[in-house]
Amino acid sequence: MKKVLYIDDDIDQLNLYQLAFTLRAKDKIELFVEHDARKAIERIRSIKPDLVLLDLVMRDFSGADVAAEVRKEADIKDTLIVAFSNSSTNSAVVSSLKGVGITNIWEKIEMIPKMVVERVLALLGEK
Amino acid sequence: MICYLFSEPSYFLFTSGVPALLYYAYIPTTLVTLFVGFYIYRNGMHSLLNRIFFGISILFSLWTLSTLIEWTNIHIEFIMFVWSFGSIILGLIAILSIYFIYVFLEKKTFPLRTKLVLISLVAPVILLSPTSLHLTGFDITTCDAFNFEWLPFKIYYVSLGVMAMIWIFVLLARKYRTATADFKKQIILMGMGMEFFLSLFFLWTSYTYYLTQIGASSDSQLEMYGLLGMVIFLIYIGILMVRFKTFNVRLLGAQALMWTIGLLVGSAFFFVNVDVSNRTMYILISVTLAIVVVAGYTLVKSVKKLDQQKSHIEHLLKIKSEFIDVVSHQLRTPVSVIKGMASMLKDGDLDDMPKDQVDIFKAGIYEKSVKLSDILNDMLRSAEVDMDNFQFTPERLKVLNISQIVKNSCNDLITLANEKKLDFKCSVPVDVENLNVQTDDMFIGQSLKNFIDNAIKYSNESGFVHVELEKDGKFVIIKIIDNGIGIPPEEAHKLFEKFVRASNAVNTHAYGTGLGLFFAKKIVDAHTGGKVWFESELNKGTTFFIKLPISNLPVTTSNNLVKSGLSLV
Repeated sequence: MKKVLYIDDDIDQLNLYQLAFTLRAKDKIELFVEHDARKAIERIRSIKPDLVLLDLVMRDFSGADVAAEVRKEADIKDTLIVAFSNSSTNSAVVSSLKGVGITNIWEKIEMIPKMVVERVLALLGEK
Repeated sequence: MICYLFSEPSYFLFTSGVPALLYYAYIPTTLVTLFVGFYIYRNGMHSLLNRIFFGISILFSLWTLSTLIEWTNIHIEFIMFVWSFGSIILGLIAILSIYFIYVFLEKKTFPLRTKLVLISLVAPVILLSPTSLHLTGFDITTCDAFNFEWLPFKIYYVSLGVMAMIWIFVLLARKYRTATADFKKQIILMGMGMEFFLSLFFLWTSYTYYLTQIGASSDSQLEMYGLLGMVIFLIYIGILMVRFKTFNVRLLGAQALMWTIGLLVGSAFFFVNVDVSNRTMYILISVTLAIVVVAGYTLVKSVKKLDQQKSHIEHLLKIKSEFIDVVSHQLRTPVSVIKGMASMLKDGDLDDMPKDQVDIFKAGIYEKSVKLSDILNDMLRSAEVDMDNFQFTPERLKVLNISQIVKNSCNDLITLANEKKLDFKCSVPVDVENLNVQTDDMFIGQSLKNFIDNAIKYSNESGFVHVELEKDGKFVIIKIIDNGIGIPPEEAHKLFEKFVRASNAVNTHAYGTGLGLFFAKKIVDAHTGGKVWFESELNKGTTFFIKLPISNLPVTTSNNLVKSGLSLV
């Protein structure tokens, strides 16, 4: 069973994906959710997820901040992070994300839950 | 006392006893520096960066003047008086240069603590310079005081220059790492210019003096090349002005060209012999000069127009990209949730789900649709009022009771305030109850709601939002007071611009179009004498003041006040 942590400050978005993962990958993925970006690092530390789905524009702490913090901590620095956001993916954003080792940048509007679950399974080698 | 090295100079400075290079090196450099300094100051005297540069150019000119006097004057008391000021000027140039670079990089002033550090560094120089600790004597044979300067003092003020160079290098290098490509180029230009200037200005005299002392050079004129540093600095400053619009100086090229040609032609008058046969020459020069002035004026005017158009286009492009940023995030967020939920409904994923789970979904779709329509309304309304001097459509103008409008706006937002457990009050004193305002009934309510909504949104849980009304002569003032996050002072000036959200607002609320206050202010401003302003303290709270003109006409329509549990004092 792989562990996935989804961090997003939009509760509706979290509800939606919690249901989608339960319905489509219950036996392969255990999904954890967090809506408070300030608690993100703590959750990553305690859960040690195989993959983090990370929103970029959040109150208090941006996704890029979270990723930068993760990369600083020896224990969790190699965590696979997928940026999952609706912020404009212009070259500046992409290069700053690449700077913290994020190459998977998914746009929410382009995807529906079914696709996200499939892609997460593929990334984790569960498919 | 007088040293008899040269004859008495005319106008303090001019003597035949000193090398001609002295005048060639000092006078044009000083004049150009002063010219550039004044020019930059005149074109932006409110900009701190421009004012500091002006300060440096004045100090530099004072320094060259004092050095010229030291070289050419023969009155010992006078030379010693001027000499003691040289080190003060050097010290001030060192700290002003650091300040200049900081403001250039950060676009804001130094924190008070750093200012105090800088002042305390230069204070010993200012205090000790006029005393005998600095200068102990004077060499009447060479007519200078080089060998009578107290060495530790000299080392100290020269070290200020070295410290400035290092400090500036660190500031530039730190900013360089995170700067945009365009700003990186500016940092390199500014850095090279400033470091050249400081290194030649502070170290060259010591270096040439050292060469003379060890006998490696006997050329006293070598010292004068130190001023080249300022010339190089000015060249870099010139490139920054023209290429990157640093100092907000525009049109420099065209204006400089016009002045130069004008001066060149005009100066010809002085070289023409006063001779009757040369009258034709006078006429020719006069006509040429007149043509140059007219053509130059036209050129500058057309360049100015082009420049204005260019900056207008740049402004529009900036708004466009901000619009795309807002749209891409704010609009796509609710749409992506609705799309995701709809896709699951379509696939039958919810068919076997318990009712409460399905209800969460329904509520999610509804809330996101409301958010989406709010954003679209914000955008459409803002587009409607987005023009200079927006005015209400006459047929929509009505005379309305202002206290009713305020109460209605409060009522619409009471649920939101209760959700945050805020102490939310709308107070209408008796003397304001019957006051009317001529306004647009649709827009004014929305405008007030935007102010109150903001106050609620950016208040801390269990904080307060109070809306108060008071009469002020022919005006009514609506105050919206909160004890929320406040507005950062450095962002206050652009708060009412389109798509602008204060940085702490973005941190507290990831969503927001940055159109609410833009729209709200446009509406208030459309009233004759209407005005909006605010007072704010970071993390303490904000008070918005909305001033509207009272109308003595009778109410043209009745507002439907929805009674609610709102506390009306």
